[in-house]
Amino acid sequence: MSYEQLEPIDPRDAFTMTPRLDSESSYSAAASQAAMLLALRNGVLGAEPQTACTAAEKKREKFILPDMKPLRRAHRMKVSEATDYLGISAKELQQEKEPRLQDEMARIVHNVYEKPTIEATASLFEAAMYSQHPLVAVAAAAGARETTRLRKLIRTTLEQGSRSEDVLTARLAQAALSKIVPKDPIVRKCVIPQPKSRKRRRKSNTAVITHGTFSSNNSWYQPGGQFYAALDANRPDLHVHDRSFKWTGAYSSSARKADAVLLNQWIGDQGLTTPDFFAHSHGGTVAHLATKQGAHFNRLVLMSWPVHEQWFPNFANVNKIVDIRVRWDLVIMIDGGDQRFRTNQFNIEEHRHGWFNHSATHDPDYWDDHDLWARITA
Amino acid sequence: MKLSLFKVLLAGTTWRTLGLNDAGRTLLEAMSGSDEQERMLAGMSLVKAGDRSTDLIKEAIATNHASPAVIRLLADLGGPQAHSILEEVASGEQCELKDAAEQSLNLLKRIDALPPEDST
Repeated sequence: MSYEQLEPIDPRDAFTMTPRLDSESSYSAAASQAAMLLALRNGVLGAEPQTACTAAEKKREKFILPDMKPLRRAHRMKVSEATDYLGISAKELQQEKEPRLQDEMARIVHNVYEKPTIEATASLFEAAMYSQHPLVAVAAAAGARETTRLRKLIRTTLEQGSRSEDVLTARLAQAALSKIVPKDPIVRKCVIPQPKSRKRRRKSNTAVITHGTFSSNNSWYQPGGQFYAALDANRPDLHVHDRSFKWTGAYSSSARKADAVLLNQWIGDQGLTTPDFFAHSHGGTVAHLATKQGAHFNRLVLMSWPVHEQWFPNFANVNKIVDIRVRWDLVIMIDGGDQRFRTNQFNIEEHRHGWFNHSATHDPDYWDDHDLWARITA
Repeated sequence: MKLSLFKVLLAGTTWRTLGLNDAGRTLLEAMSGSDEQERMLAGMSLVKAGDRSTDLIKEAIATNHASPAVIRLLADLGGPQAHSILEEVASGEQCELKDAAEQSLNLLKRIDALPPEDST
């Protein structure tokens, strides 16, 4: 079985436990806590219960929730008010030790069953954002977003959660982020250009790979994929980065510009300084646009890049460009780009082999046949 | 069945110049297929055809023939109609399509957030 079977735990019991990401046995507790927090969030939003059932069914139900109707919010409260129920300030909450925090949460959950109030719910969200389990913290952040204003703690929790290796946490965080619709320019400024998160401390210049248009779900460029594995095997000296860059793969130029913003941020987040960058098709365009926003690349290896002068890189931010392409590339013909990357501004090293097939240039056999592995020189 | 590259190229030209529905449907099929090159050719042709493709995708959604890859094209097609289709799909119940629509709406938001000189 490739998935983990989870068991519901009554939230009143689940919140007496302290789940941890490295403990599989406590995952059901984390999931039950998260489910409770999300149900409370729905109550705050005034949503109908998603699992409405008859009284008889309710008796058999393993996961019983309190009455959510009294939780419907009239307005968002101040952050300072949101921790009132805990009897401490938001600042003091940060310093709170884990066992006491867990006890407090268990107490609030019991109270919410006895007498559901928005004040108790808001304080539970505030406390649970400090949970050691990211699934619980993310669910709490999604809730706190609805009881208070959007702020750094919520945003950071969701951003970090969206990059979690735990799939459920990542999906939940991404869903929560997508629900955040900024209404004023200040909030929008805070949210859309995503803050740096999960920043790696080590600096690195390893090689990064990215895909082209409509191809973000392909495997060839990702760790374990064909091209990734072949590059790693043939050029161990490049130290291929343990993550590849995934962008939307959208075709419009404005989408590529938006993705270039993400690439620029991603490079910093990954601790990369001047990486080698292998880009297929318009992945190259995204890389070029990123250089205009300050990204630096050592060797920029373009595979089947559709040449458009307006998307030339900032050449000052690139040490070397290796351009690999086939003749009469069919996709580039439809795209309307030029088939050769020629400019007086920079010395482009071109390797042109084969015909028509746009995807050939990221095929390891193509690289073998034309001895390209050795051509990526300093 | 794997569509031939030639068929996709022909369908792309036909769809863009004549707007024949069969050609459009061939492109949608290729767009949802596993061949990267065919998908790129089909997607680019659909995007370049503009509003005509938005109508085609709307029809595909109504007849349950739309894939997530097809939904994502709406972000490239843009415009009020594409936006409202995305919102409708995002509030629907088909999980994969809903995810694709939400991602596309998120992309459109990021585009809106670009500085004015960069948003075109």
